[in-house]
Amino acid sequence: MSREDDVQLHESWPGRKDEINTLLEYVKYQDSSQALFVCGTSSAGKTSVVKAVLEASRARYAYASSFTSTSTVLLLQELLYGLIRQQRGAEDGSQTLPRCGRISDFVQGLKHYAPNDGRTSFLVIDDAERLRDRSTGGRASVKEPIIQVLLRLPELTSGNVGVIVISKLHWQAFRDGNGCLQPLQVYFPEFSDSILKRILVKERDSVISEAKYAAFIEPLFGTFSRTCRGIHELRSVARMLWPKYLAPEAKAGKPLEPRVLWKELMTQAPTYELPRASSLQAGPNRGVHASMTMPLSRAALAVTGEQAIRPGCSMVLYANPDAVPIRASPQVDRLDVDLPWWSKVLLLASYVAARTPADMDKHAFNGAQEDDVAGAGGKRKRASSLSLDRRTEQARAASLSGPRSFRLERLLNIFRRIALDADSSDRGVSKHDLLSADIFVQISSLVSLKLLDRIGTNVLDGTCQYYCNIGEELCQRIAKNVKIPIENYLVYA
Amino acid sequence: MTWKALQLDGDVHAMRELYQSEKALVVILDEFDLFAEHPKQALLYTLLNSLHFPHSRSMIVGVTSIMDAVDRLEKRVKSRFSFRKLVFTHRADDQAVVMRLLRHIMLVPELSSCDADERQVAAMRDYNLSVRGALEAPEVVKAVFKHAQLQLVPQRLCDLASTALARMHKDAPGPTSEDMLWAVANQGEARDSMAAILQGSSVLDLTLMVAMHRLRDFRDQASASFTQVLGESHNMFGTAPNLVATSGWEVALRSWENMVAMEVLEEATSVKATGRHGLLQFRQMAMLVPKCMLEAVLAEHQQVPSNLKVLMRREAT
Repeated sequence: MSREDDVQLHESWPGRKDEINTLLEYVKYQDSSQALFVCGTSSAGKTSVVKAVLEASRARYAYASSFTSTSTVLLLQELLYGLIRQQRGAEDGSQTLPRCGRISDFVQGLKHYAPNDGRTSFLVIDDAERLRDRSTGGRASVKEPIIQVLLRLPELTSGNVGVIVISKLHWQAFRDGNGCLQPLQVYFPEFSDSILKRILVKERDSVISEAKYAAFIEPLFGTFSRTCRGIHELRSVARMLWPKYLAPEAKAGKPLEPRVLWKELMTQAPTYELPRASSLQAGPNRGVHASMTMPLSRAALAVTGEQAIRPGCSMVLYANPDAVPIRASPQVDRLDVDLPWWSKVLLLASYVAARTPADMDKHAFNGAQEDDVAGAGGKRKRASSLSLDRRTEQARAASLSGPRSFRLERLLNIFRRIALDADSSDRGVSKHDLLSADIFVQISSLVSLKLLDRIGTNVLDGTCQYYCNIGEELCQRIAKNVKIPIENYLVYA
Repeated sequence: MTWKALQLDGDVHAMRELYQSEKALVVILDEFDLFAEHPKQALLYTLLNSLHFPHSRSMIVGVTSIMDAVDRLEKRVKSRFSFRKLVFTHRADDQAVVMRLLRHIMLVPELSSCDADERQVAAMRDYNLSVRGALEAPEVVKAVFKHAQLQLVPQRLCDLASTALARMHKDAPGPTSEDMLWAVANQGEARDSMAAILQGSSVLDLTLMVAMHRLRDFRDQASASFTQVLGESHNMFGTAPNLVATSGWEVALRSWENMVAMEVLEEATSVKATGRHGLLQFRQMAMLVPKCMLEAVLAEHQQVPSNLKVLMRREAT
């Protein structure tokens, strides 16, 4: 590998000079006796830099990610077959690939296909933190020692096999007290402000002038970097806001000062309509690997109500690039989700059950009985102001702690009350219908759809607890759709 | 008598045949404790049972770094075990042992004039003299011993030797005591992973962490959900503008999810017993960042506002 290649690598990956040099030393000297552990926060450039260094060094390597190789067998196959394909050539599909169902098969295969010919073969395992909790043969109690095996491959194969493990967690998170060999560590720190800006400016379209784009990136970085320093998110925001930043210039028909353009952009921010699926490629979805993102439909986004946006919140622009703005309107009674009537009422009942304390049920749903007791001369406790403050504080703390779990009996009681109250004459709901098998089937369906969560396996013994997963906005929309005044049942929430 | 080294792939029948073949057999089980995790420990039982075959001339050697590996065996397997143990320990409390190990790593064998020319022999002799001199200096002995007590493994001493040799002047015959002291001081201790993660955090992440610490210190809440932390972050700034309020609920939740993914937060143990809520924002989480570390990061972070540092210690500004 020539000096020019080194310089080109440093130019292509700004802010990673030391890390690139360390990787080059490891690859160049082919010291495979110790594995290499590359760690750093997400979007620090770990995978890209490792692959670039291996490509530039023309090293023989195979890559597998534990995100796409969801089982150990798939991971080992991906690694072994990757090496075999490199050896045989990409076009040669004539010979069958060896069996690789077990770790021992994998080690034997490596000895055969990574021969000691003076060249080291490298195995790159990405997202290694997901390998920590893999269990053996479906038995959750026995953890598979796959990481220990991978780190000892040079010893097990007695050959030139170098292992590079990439993870966003540090080595301390992998220690398990089983005598795992400590690898050499390369840490990829967060990019500094100047490097982040440099990367953002470098990634502009070639037709855009560097000075103009840098003048746009400077205030953008200052505004958004305090909330998030991920390069993917900042890149998405820049890509999204650049056309809107230039819009006043197009309107005026002449170049304008950067500060004028920026001021205009920020003034107009709350009214922006967000672009759809095409921008998803620019940044990962929440918690989903970049290689597995897919755009969601409006109906799917509307189901859990999670993608609701509060109008006037400018930061939402880059938080959810494909979010669907739901315009709150008191007259909206159309629901984007098609659910049976019973399921809608069950969801409303579960929302009430989750927000109302169980000991308040008799007050919320049996108000007539309480009045009778009072009218018959029953004693009434005088509520003191101190207990009122305490109750208010408790109610506030309860609302922050989130919705409670509830049992099936309670859900059915509340459902029965709401259904009978809401029954219009054309439906003719009877008490028999409220306990029919259909209702229980619909509860199971709601659990499958993750609109309800069930804790516990045996439904029949009555100890299962349920959680309601719908938000306030969706509850309001369902209530408007079925014309049930849900506020009447949330008095004690 | 011929000796053969065989590598078997866990084929129990083949091994049984070997045992019965009256040939001397040594079976070495590396990472012996992991065999104890096999279903019913069938392999261990078969191997240990085979020792009692009539014509068996075999020996089983288990190698493990787990001290209580034998305690993990089932009764039927343990009863067939001889309980003979050879313990390889590191004498980290013995200074002489540590220095002897380091000398063994750093010294080179001195060749005679028959095997090499005069210059090479002289160079090796001078190198060894230099190493002995460096390793006998009292301050070097003290520093190396203190360094080795953290974790006495040969690899660590090899790294120390490599660092000292890399620093050695190219014209010097060998490393000096200054080189050794420099190597000890700059050995590159394991980076504090949590501090490294926090250094790169955004101001929003740090604000949520401060809110969690406040819930623990001022409200006696060891664990908290996202909604509770959000409530506290609104309380602590009062009516003053703050980043959490301007960022919005969804952005703050994304920051929370990131902290969970980076293992800055973990689920509270009480939740694991009773069942976890389906939605992340309502799950009770505990903070894994010590207060002193967070304060140190807040002091060094360039973008953190000054009132956030104050709110870490005081209930109100």
